[in-house]
Amino acid sequence: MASDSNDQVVDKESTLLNLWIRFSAGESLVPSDLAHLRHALAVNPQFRAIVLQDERMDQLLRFMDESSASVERESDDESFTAAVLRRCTESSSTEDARQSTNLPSAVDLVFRNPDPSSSGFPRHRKNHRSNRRSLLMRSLSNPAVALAVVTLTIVVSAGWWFALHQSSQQGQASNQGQDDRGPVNQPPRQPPEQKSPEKQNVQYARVIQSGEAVLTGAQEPGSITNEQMVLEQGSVRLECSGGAVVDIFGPAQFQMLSPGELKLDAGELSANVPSPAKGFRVRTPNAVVVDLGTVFDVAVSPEGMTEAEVRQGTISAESHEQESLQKWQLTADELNQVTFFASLPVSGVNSGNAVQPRSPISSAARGFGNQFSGLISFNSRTVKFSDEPMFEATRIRINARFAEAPLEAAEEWSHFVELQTSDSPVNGEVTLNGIRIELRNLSEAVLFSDRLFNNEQKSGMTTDSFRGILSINGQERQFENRDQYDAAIRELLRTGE
Amino acid sequence: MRRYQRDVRLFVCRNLGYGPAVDDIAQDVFIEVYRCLPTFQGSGSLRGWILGIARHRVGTWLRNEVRNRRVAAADLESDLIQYRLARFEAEADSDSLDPDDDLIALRICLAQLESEHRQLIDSFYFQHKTAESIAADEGKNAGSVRMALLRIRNGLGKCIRQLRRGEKS
Repeated sequence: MASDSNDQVVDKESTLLNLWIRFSAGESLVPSDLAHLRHALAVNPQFRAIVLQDERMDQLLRFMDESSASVERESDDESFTAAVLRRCTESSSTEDARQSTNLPSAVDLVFRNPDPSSSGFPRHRKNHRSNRRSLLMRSLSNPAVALAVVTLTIVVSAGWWFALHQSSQQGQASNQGQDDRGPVNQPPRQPPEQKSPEKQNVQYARVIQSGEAVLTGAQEPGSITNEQMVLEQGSVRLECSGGAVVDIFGPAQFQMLSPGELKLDAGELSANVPSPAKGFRVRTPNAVVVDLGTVFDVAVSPEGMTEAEVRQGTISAESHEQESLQKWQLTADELNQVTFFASLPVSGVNSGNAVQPRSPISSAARGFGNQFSGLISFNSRTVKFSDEPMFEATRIRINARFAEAPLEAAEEWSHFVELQTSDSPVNGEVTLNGIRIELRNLSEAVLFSDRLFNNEQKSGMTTDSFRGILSINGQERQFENRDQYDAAIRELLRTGE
Repeated sequence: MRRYQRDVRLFVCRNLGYGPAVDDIAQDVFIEVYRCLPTFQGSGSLRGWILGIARHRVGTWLRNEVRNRRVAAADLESDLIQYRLARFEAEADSDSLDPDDDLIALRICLAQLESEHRQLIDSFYFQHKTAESIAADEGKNAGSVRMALLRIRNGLGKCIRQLRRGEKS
């Protein structure tokens, strides 16, 4: 076997490797040796690679020995199987107990408008995040799944696209004759009321562990009252008077509102809530996460996005915007992560007598087996998405439209919500610069347009070169630039209704 | 379950190392398999689906361990878990999910070892002799036996990487 850089490191770092060997053999090293080893692993990637590889080889060799001892394994197999079956039984009992409490599901809680496309959350299991996209593509190879996705994307994108463009043509005149879902005369919503502790300087929690923490705001070291706290760096473990144990990771800003409620303005936390402390709440700038007996994490990004993930048990998480009805129930084994996207700031500009609608609220939950469920609420109407790319595209579009023209955006959203339940099959093709591209649904037509123009500069294609023929459901329209392309889709859709 | 248990355990061991967590995680995987089996749509292999669940469980376990230890402990074992998580996440992007590939490659590489090295591996891993007893038999000290084992493992790792690179190309 030829010498390589690992061999050189092995030769050069024999002192360190000796320490590693002694450590991995279970020997207790003196603190200075441990510190030396830790430092080397942290700063020397080659050494770290050797150690990790050595560990893996050791594991493989031990596993090889274990798997070759088939007779010995036979009894292990039986006990393993028995353990799984026992835990299965326990698990299903727990599940039954949870269901018997009649907790409303996320779907029940969320929708004001019943969505025929939503048949509850698919019971897949989540794989690793980085594998999510490839699993989606693989699931599309299943005809039933592909059909469902195509149908959903046609309906969603057709409605959204059509509504946006139709409404923008109608302009301000469309604000007349709004029904009660419209933004006209809608009273401005008040921000959620914050609990203000009656007693000042009462200890709500104490610091029981600190990892190189720089914590400011505490009147007495180690005591957490209702003061606003800033954890500049490091981490602290708090034991709340209510019983929850919360790890907070800096940089973070937080405030205990009560022994059972913590406000996290920035940073990350991990909460372990024993049964007596059930109901522990974490309030972030745009969501409230309520423990239902569990271990969970919450993070607030500098941009104001809240992410929550349940590791054990169940939590509920909901938007501050009560009318958005965006409430999720997350369990460790199903949908286990939720993101509440930061809302756009409301400018407060009124147009005539119409009060500007509040900004769109979006949240999305993910779980096992590529599960995805997204919600966008705007102008008192909520739409559910089960296709992540469509959710993202719609979220970005509605936010952009809201920033541009809030009242029109609200109007268009209403059209979108209505149209999303309509069923308009699209079968078309576009001939672009002599190349024929089949469009199996409107989503492809819209995304094609977006993608082409978004990549315009990269590809060197100019608007002038974007010309061709669009054919949808047997009707053809010529186009010579994007506006004409979009108008053609709009027109063909309208005539196709 | 028996059919896939070995694969799941190997996958877990490969990423976490030996320890009490291995059986717990493997059990978790099969509990999830039982509960989700009705939703398995057959678009891929059952084995791949089960290993996908194992991958998720291992990732969750590693991330939880890192989080739990962020405050509780700052020691070498915590550092190692962080490094294992980083490796796991880096490898998740590659197509090296099948844990059997490593085991097959290891068998080939073991067969290519010099007899002296092979004997040392046999004694330590398959005959379960301690480094001290091997050292006593050969008139060496235990440290030098362990260092020799490390060098052989390093060579085996290099051999496996070469084999897998060859497979890909």
